[in-house]
Amino acid sequence: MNLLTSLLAQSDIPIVDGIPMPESSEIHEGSYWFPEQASTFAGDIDFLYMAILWISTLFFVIIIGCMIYFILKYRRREGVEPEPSSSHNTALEIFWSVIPSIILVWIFYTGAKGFFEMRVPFDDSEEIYVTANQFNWKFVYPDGDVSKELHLVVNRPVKLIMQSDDVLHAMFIPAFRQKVDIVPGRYTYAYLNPNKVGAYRLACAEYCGDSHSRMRTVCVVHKDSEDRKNTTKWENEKHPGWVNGERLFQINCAGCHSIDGSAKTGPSMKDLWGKDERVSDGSTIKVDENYVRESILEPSKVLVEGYGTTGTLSKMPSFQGKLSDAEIGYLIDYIRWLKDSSKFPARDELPPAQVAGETPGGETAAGESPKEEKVADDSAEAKNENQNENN
Amino acid sequence: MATAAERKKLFGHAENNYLNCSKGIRSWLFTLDHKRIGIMYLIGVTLALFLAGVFALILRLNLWNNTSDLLTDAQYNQMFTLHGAVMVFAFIIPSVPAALGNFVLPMMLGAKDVAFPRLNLSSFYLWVLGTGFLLWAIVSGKGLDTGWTFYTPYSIQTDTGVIYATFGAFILGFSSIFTGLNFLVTVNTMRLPGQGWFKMPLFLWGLYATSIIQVLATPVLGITLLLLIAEKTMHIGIFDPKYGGDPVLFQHFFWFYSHPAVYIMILPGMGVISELIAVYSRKKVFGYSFIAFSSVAIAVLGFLVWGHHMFTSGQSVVVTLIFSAITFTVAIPSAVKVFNWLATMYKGSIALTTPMCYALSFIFLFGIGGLTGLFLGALSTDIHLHDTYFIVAHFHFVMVGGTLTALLGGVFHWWPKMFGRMYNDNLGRLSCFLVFLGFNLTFFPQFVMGARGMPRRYASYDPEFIPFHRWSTAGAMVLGFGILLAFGVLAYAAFRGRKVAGNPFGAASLEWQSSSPPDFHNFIHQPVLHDPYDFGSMVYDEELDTYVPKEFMEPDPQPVKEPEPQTQ
Amino acid sequence: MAVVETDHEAHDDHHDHGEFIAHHFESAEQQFDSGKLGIWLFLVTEVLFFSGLFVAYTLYRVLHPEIFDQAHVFLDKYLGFANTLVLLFSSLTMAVAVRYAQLGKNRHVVWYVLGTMVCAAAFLGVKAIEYTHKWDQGIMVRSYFDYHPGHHEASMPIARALGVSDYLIWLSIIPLLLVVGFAVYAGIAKMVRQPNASFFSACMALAVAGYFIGAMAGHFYR
Repeated sequence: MNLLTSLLAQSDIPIVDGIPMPESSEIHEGSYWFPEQASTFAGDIDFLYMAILWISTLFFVIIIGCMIYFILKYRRREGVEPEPSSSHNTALEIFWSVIPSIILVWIFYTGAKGFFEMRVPFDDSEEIYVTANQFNWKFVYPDGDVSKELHLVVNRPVKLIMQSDDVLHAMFIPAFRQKVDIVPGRYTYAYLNPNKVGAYRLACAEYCGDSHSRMRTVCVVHKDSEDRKNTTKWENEKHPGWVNGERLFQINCAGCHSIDGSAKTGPSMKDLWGKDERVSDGSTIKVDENYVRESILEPSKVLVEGYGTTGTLSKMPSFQGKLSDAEIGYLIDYIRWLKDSSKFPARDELPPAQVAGETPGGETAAGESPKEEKVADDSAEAKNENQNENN
Repeated sequence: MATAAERKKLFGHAENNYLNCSKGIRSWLFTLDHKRIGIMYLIGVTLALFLAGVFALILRLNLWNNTSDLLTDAQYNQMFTLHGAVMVFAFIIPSVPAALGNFVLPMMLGAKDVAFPRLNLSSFYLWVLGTGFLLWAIVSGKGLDTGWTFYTPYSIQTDTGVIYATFGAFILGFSSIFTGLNFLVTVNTMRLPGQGWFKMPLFLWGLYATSIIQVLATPVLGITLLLLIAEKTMHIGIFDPKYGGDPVLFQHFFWFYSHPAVYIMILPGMGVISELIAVYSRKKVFGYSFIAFSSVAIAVLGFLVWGHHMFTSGQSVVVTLIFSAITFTVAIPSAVKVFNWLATMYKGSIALTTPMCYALSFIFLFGIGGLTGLFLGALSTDIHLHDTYFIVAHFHFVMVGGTLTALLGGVFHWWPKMFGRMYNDNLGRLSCFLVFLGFNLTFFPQFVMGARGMPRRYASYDPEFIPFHRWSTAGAMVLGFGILLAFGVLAYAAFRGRKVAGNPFGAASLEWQSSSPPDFHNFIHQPVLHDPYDFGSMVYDEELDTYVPKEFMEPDPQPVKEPEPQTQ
Repeated sequence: MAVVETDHEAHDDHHDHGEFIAHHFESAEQQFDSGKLGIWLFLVTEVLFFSGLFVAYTLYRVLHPEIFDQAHVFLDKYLGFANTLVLLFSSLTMAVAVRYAQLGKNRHVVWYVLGTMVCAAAFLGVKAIEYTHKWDQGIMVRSYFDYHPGHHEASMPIARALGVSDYLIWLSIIPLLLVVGFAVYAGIAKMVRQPNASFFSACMALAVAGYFIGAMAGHFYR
């Protein structure tokens, strides 16, 4: 909360009741049915929605029209018996089964096509780690920056790699028409391609406990990276994630896994990330977040070719309960860094955002300046109070 | 052959009937008579409806303002959970099958009782016990805040009364299984000689399809809830990721039951509507076999679509695609039913009595409920609408606009049979109008809210949604008043209403060939088998002011013969 | 079509029916068919009930093969084999008992039902032998898992006096209540001259008592 309020104090998004609340001028009205379209697939979804709406309306009007007409025309009159009519007409019944079926096939096809677009990664997308816990969001950017709001750059596709610390959550940005559950114990992915600058609501959509309805934040789409870097107040950790990962690797893994490609008890980590690893039953598995996580927590489940046959026990012990989710995240960062360090900040270089967040007081090490946070916090609260008074 | 006196005995208003054939509270509590059990169920589910309805009104009042002024977040979460859990497990699932079905099903078959009367009574007491456990979660002060779906791992983590409530739902499941089993056996073995499958009223087809689902799906819920309790108390590690479990597995298990359960809720309602439309239009049901088979088709397909509750949960794309495709196939039999009901009204003689008004509002509301299902079956739109108020509105249109409306229509329809007394038709129609108006006012704004991105289960919300929520709250009050009025009208009628004879509406299914209220043995004579929708087979008897089978009005008696057993 | 007037005066439950036909059935065949269909449907629900467990088991096994690999060393295949035989044999005795019931040979029915009960006792006994070790070593579900390869120190006085683990005492409460309950019921039934009920509950008490025999055997066998 400290962070959120201080951050919002800087980014000029008012907070109501602890929840960031973009000015109504920033939240665009959108159409009657929808919030504004701000991602590439929003248009397709809205089109399908409106198509189904009009098809449904047509059918509904016909049904209710017939119903009302029949009620009026054939209402019961004294001494008038119902006219006989056929109680069965196969041609008619098949007709009104088949026509809707054809329409349904079209709806299914269009929906499935749209769905594929939402579930297939964009080329060359920025990867942002999302951690949800009761009842906060944390977004970690490739350069090590951390924020509690999602900050994107317009027209730059994003892959959100999401994990939960506790229970189910769901990442929902109505303006992007995107929603993916965040499931504890595994990673889930969401793909976004924002195409309009602005501030949009981001909400947790899967019930997660007491303050579920307060697990709301905003997604800000900036006009370019510069803008994002400079106007956002970041809350960063002391080291880039991969440095933490390196330390953990030295303690836990280096005994059996090399980083230079040489063979030890276990496979080497060199160029491991993204590789199609051959496993003992002959199939291949792509090394990604879920695979690494699984290998750490359940080493015997899948064995790399040459390190035992399927069904036998791995020589590696399980780290279930020994490494936290955050620590596994650091290790993944490290493995990725081993593959391609260009996306990560250098070892001793503090992320530049921290310099940007520096106060005039001259304190340099972020994280060791509780006073500063306190000040920002107080000012935000004061602002919050003002607003309440205004209301 | 039958004299006027005999007709009065067989089809008139009976002073000696199942209601007063034995006296005292014990004669009710230990009764094995399906009619009394049906009445007790009706009272029970009505109480559950009012309890859950009060929760709903509190919810709606809290949402009047966007800052959750009335309740704390935790209290709000308890309210929506208890509203959902009590409504689903204690009210909707037993409402039409156990309450109306128990009363009507054996009589429609011309039988004296269901196949296993003791099992039937034990179903009722299991219902009482299970509901008791649900209530225990409330009165113990712990409450329940997981949502009615009990999703893991939150349900494992929370320290509210999850164990009481899941155990309650487990017991209610067995109540439901036993009712379904009883109905399946009764329909299979106890039909009147000569009553083939296609001479059964469509309500029975609806109940039969429902029973299949109850018997096949509910056990899976039972084991799921037991595993959840074991997980919560002993950490067996099946659903909790902390111990190596898979929380999505719980969702699969849960929806494997709870999706078919949706059809447990709606199929009997559809059956009731088929009866009402036919009787009050005095027309043979159009496309009988299409409606009958569509019930069974919905029941079967209902087992194959559970994954559509989990499109956003990260299940594989292929699986998602398959579930979406099968989901669309369920739309066809549902649409067929609506078209057939309309065609039944064509060239009929439509009387806008209270039950018919409810039936017509069912077509309207279920039409919207069903058509909005298309938005949710289509994958890309579902991603946007999932877990928003759009879903809330959709399933309320089906569950309340469908099942509750059908229940009210059915209760009004069979009320004269149950108590031998007529309600005030104008007040009944007024209640129907209020329910219809209030319902639309409550839930229509929720479609718009949902599409605009208002997530469900939110105690506080963004100010832009305030007007929608206020319309909705106002509508809920009207809806609550309408339901209250309906039950008021019925309760008054049961004791003070005008006495009526056996068949005031001229219906042709077998249960109407009895006195009102029926005798303890249901029928004093063996009922005469006609087509259930051959309304010409019942003729008006002026002395009794009711309809009797035409055989009893024939002046010239034929020699008495055993009815020829017909091949099925 | 004509109308058949039947028994409108009759309000007693057993008019023109045999003694064994419930009042709401038309004939013995209808009653038999209903009962048969009912029990089959009940079995279907049982299958589905356990299908959930099987799915859970399969998934668990797929997710954590190493646990199954490691846990099997704690199992005794001879005892498991013995129990499989006991189960199969008890099915046989029960099926034979049903056959004799159909033939009306009641004495045979009694002996075979008793045989089934003895099998039940044997089954519980073998299970108790298997489990006492695990309870002693603290191999329990996750919440109570507290493995010590040797013998667990007991803290309850009664457990210490008997030289067994606390778990065994806790887990014996239900069988103990059952044995006492059935024994008391058998006594009461004998007093009020209900020989069948007395015999039945005495057999049940015997069956459950098998558990204690097994637990003792397991305790000393160690």
